[in-house]
Amino acid sequence: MVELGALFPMGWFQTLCHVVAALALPPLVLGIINKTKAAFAGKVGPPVLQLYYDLFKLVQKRMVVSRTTSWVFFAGPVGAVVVGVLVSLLVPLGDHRAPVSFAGDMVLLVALLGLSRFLTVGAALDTGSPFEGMGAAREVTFAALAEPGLFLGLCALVVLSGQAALAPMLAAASQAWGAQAGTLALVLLGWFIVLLVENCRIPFDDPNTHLELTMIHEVMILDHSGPLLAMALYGASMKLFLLISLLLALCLPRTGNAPLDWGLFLAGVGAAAVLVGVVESVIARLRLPRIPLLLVSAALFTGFAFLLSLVKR
Amino acid sequence: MAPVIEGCLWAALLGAALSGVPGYWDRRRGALLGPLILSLSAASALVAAALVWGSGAPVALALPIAGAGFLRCDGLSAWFLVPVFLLPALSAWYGKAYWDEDHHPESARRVRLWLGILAASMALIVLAHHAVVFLTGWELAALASWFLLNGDESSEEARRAGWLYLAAAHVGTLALMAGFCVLGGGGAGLGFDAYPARWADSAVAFPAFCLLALAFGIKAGAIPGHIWLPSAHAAAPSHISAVMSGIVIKMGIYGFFRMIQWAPHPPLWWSGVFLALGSLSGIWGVALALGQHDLKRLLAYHSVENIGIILLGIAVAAAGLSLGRPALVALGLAGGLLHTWNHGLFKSLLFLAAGAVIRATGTREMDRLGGVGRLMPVTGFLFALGAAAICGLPPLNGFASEILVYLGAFKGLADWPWAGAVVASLALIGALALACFTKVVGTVFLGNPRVASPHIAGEAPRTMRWPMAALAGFCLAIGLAPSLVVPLLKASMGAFAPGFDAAHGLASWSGFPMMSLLYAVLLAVLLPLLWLLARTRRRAEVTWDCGYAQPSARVQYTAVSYADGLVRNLRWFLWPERSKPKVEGIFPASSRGVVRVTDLVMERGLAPIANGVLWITHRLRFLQPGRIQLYLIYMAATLIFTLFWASSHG
Repeated sequence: MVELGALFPMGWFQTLCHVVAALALPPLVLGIINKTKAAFAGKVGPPVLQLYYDLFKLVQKRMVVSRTTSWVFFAGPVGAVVVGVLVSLLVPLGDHRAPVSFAGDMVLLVALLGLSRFLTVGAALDTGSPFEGMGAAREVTFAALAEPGLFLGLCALVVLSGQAALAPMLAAASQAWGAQAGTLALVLLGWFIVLLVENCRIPFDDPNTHLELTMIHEVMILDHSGPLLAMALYGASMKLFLLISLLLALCLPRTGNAPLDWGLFLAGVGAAAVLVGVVESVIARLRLPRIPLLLVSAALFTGFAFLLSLVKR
Repeated sequence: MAPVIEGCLWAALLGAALSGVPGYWDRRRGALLGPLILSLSAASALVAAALVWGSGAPVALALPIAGAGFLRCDGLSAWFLVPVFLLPALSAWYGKAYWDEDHHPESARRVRLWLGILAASMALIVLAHHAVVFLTGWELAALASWFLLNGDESSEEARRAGWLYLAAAHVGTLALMAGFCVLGGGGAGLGFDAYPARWADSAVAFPAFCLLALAFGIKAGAIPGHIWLPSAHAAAPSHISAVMSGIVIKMGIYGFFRMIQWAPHPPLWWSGVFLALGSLSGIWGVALALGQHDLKRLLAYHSVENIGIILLGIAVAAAGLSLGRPALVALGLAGGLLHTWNHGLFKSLLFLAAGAVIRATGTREMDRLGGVGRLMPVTGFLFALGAAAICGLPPLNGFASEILVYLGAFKGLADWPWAGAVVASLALIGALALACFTKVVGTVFLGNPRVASPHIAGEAPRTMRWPMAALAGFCLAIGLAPSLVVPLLKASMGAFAPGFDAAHGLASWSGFPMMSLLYAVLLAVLLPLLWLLARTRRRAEVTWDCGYAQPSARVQYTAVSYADGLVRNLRWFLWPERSKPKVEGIFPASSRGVVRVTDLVMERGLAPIANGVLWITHRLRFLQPGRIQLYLIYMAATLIFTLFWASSHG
């Protein structure tokens, strides 16, 4: 097994491009999703850049902070952004490489997302609100059921590629569509479900719902306002963007021409955002007791992918 | 160098064993001298461990009369010696305030005495190079823990838990004796030197493996041998729970590591057994923890879970040995060993912090607490840190050891597909642990105070705070710079398997330095965000309550409701008992709803069997009426029967 773990495999310019893209693009994804949904509903919808405007506005506002809360309340949104930045250094974007790469880095990626969840849930519980407790309980429940699916997909890709570091593993796997299309398709399918649940999208959670009782992520940040809310929203959009990039790395072709690769990547992000928008427009949110079934099927998809990768090795 | 090491080890052993004695002359000074002597012993043991790692060769200790060949300190012993002394020493300082002379005049010095003896007897276990010495240490440690867990003599709960513990410990000891007898057969004797040759004989290895795995599994608390663990950890004084959970159960893990060392070419099914034990303990342990309402019982089930994680590391290492893949051996062993330390550190921290809360509020019931973090900020922060560490979250130590096991499993996938089960189990365990610890932190430390919290008079005394802070410091240090422990790990693994290079896959792995680098980036991102928040004006208000006019602390999500979603989803193997509250009519009467998650192994497995045995023995009581004539007849009949039997078999 070859280790591609040299310190900083990318030059400074590529690293800069990577970081700028990872920091600047995430809010755009939500804009595209909302435009798509508006188009399905026959509306004009908010501008594609709406989240940028919102963030700009929120950062300038002052905060309303509950008297019940402690430092944990601040740790949630701050943690979401910090984790987003760290994860962005591990995920390959346009040129199929990541600034930081070592064998086993995908475990760090998932654990960092776990850290962000720990802090967000803690911030929600810090308010002492029953609504936010409810959202937090749902969040950890569904995340726990989604985790095996994510990791079984990683197992399949490790076997398929013979690599244990994320970026080279995804790069090698994306070249294997000819030989192992079934494995890769199952991993993609399973991970798409994981992506939807991790980011609290329909059919798991409706980000636009109006009632606290039906929310998951939105209810956890109910009490955050001003810059804190901006951080929570920005962190959530980064998570969505990075998980989309992870899926894209599996299915985008590689031309070897850096500008062309970046162009393909941007088009891919747009297409994935449209896909999420379409999913949200054509299906309804599931009843809460049904959600675990879908999550178990995600684990089954990636589990079968793992078995298939072993057979076709 | 050998005489220095020998001197340090003897000083540590004797110092620890006698650390509680001065208290029997002078209560006041004993309260100070006990922890002090134990700390000096710990320092002496640390020096010895460092010297053993440095020299790279095992050091034999000569016993005064019996001579050499009974005690030996190699890298693995040194690795375990560190927590064996460190955790009791820190707990002893904590106990100086927590279990003080004023509140516990009868038991304070007894607890101090046995705590020292416990540390010494565990040191005897890890230094033993002979079955008799090992068994002596084993039995002494079991008895010492029993005395400690009965620290509060008036507690019926502790007595019941102690009884169960004693029974389980002795089943283990019996199995261990039988196992050593099997290994010592064929003229091999009871010294450990002969064992590698004996393990190579499959007719010996199979029964020996089963017996030793039973003994070590019960001690470690691996499911289904965990039945004694939750009640014992819950009933013991908190600083004793910290030691029991932190290191006493690790003696079983030490045994498993020794087995791997004795048998450098294990059959592949060994790794299957370790995998089954590990994933069962890990997943079931954390699932049972989710269903607990008692803070310390919950922490106890998390010990079962973490033993599972360590066993998964051992499974990867065993598979590597069977398949001849040194990278798997190195990563599995390193992960398992490091997690042994890490769990000792963060679980002791959690038990000590929980003890501070229990001392302040007088309850272990999580749903009676709440908002403790604002009343005891230091304890709350330290508990949250320990909680993040036990969930395997970066940048803390739990993650550093779990990533090693993960990586070993990923590397083993190609040759050993069962590694996929290791990965999936670890993933599920980690995510469920996160759910469980957000529940604990959220219910106990965050939100509004519930009924028991107003009893809190303030932060825990300083003598209790600094041992917790020290443990938290270790958790952070290992988490932020895990490269620091790699040389120690390599030195400890030098004892394993001839021809196996511990450097394999560990020293060449860039993961640990890269992680430290990323954590530095974390700080760089964190600071501007904090600056932004610091300059923002803020207004204090009530929590958003949907316009409800009379919010009370009781409307908060409780621990039971928080975990209910997962308990429902895992009902097919948790079998929770639930009774719904009756809500009927326009003005429903007050009513109760209860969700209770019981331990199936105990309540549906062992308890019915034990009751059956009791029933039969009750029926046979007429055989034992207490008349001496009858017993003489029994003896005569047995003698006659034996004589006939012997003569007929020539």
